[in-house]
Amino acid sequence: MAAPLALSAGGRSLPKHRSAVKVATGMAIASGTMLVAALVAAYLNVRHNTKTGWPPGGFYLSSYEGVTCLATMMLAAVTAEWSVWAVKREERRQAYIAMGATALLEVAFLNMLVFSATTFPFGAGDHPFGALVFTMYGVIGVISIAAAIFTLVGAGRFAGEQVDHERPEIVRAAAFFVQFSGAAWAAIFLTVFGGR
Amino acid sequence: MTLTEARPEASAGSTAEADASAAPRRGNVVDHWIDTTDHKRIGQLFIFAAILFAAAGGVFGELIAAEHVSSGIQIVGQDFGRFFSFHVMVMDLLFLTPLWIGIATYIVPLQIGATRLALPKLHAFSFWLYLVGGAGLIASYCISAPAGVGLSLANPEVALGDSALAIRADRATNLWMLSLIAVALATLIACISLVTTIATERAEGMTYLRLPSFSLSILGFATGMTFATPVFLAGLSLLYVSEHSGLRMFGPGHGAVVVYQHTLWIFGSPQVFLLVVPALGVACELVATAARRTLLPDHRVVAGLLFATTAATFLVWAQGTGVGDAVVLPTASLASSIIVAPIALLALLWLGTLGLAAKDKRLKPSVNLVWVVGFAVALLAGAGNVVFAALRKNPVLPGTMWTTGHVHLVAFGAPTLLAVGALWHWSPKIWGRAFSQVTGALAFLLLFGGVAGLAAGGYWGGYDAVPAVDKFVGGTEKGVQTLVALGGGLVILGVLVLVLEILRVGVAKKGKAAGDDPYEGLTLEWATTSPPPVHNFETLPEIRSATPLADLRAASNGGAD
Repeated sequence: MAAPLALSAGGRSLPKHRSAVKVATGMAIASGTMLVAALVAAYLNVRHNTKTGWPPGGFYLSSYEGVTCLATMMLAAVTAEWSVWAVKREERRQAYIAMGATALLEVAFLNMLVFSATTFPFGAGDHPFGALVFTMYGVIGVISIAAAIFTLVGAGRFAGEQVDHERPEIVRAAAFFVQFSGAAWAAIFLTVFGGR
Repeated sequence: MTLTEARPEASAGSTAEADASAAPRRGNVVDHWIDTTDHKRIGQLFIFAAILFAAAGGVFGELIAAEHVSSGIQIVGQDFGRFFSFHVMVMDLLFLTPLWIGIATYIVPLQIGATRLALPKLHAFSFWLYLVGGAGLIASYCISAPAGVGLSLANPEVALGDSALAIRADRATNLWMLSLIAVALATLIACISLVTTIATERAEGMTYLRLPSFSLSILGFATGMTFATPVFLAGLSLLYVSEHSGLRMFGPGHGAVVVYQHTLWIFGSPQVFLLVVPALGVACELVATAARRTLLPDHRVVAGLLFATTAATFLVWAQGTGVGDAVVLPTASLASSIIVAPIALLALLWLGTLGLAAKDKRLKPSVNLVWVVGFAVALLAGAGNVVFAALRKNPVLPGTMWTTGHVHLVAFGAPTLLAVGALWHWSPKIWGRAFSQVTGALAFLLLFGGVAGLAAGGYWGGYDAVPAVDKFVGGTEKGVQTLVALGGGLVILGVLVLVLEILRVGVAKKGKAAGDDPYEGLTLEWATTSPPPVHNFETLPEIRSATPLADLRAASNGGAD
């Protein structure tokens, strides 16, 4: 009978490091999709079961602000993709501009979101419509903050030369997350503004 | 000019440098436990915390059960709702899921041939977030009974109706909800980290279909939780806004109560069954180790059955919510029954494998197998009672003790038996010394007996239409409640035996050193020292099947011949 083994001779070398950040970002996007989908489903269900008007009288939502947010997110999705393109081609100046623009656009989106929420003619406690809208705005706000931070981390790593054309994973992952945040806002926008 | 060093490639040479920086200074608690990113320590932290929370939740449950035994006993008094809610919340969210995460955090990287977690800092953060969330949850019960949530999570804004207590969220309620959000987020982060580790840190040759059974089950469990937990977070977020603003839209009058029920059950029903998936993985490991071969007929079949079980957990949603017939659909029972099939097939494979091993005189039975037997008996008893309850002339009514008994048996008892069994099985690897087989048998008898008492009392009460949550009324209830109280007491004693064994072996370092491969194991965790070094492996055997260590042993024996 063979003795208990601890180590063996002739072992293989340790594995090459695969991109953990892309896999983790993919899982985070899947989770975020479920989160937003649950909120959208809750909104649609409550709207369907509410016998009075939806939204109730006096609950006016300016679609201008919603469309502006949507346009901002679409721009951010483009600049995020531009940053990946620039990193892969070692275009450092363009990469910095693209990542900076992406982060700024996320902040701009957040700014408009907060402005919109603070100027609503209703509060979260006035009606289920208010509670749902405020919750969705809060969740998308958190997602956009995370996207901005992720982008800035990618920019920092790029500046520190830990990211280059051979290892663009974190910038790629950040771009995916920014694009997801745009898609999440689009879903919320269509639900809240499109279904009124 | 670079500001930082280029990121080092993973190689044998760099691991020595990584070890030097990762190895903690002797005797430094902060380095050893607080600042650690070593998956082995993070795993132990999760395990210790989960057992601690379980002890607290179990004691509170026992106090409730003891009061139920006789109308003359007054222990919890007016705080019954608070005690009950505490017991349910702690046992549901702070015990079994983190315990599985802890065991997986320790064992999975070893099984896949990894030197570390894929996202060690994030994983460490998830533990501290879980600890803070759990502490906050317990603190909320110390402040006062969270308004509107006196009984359980299921009907938070219905429980107190329009009473004055429920008008506005107080500090306890806010803390309760925020703590739940923290715990859910921690679970989500840990599961994402585990999936990423399995996806990216596997050794060369370790394909998905060659993953050991436990790692496969964790992959399924963690993936399922990644999809289910965000729905819970959505419901909690809505609940927080609703409570905090005073709207209470999930209470009577707004028609949104079913919405909240949905968010809870799209999380809750997969989650309850997902907790069984790692238990199935552990059972496969214990059987394979005892039989000293992979399960019949092929490891890929086992992988398929584990993934089928995971997928089936998402079919059991809407089997029942306790809100009349609002969510129950005709197809719910059929969808819920589908999950029985892969589990039953796995049980047959275990029996077949053990039988074949006995026939080939390869079987090396140990006390660890009793955990598998207990698990199988518990699931069988649960399934049997479901069939019996459905076929009975007088149907079992919802809201009776039957549900309590069933939850205690299937959702708590069965997976807990194998979680404890997993600690017994892997104790040599984790602490370098094996848990005693005698105390293992004692712990099993106590836990199994306790679970049986809890379940039997619950089922008996259900068949006698005893309400699930109620004070002592009289009649046959006394026997029912006594059985439940006795069962709970035995479970607490079983947990105490586990804690004492961990202290004896892990802290006091008593007992004989176990050796690196005490079972002649099949999988990679036995290919390194016990406990493993910081970087887990010096070298790895070539991986050409699901049993690399057995292959290596066979090759060595062949070479010796």
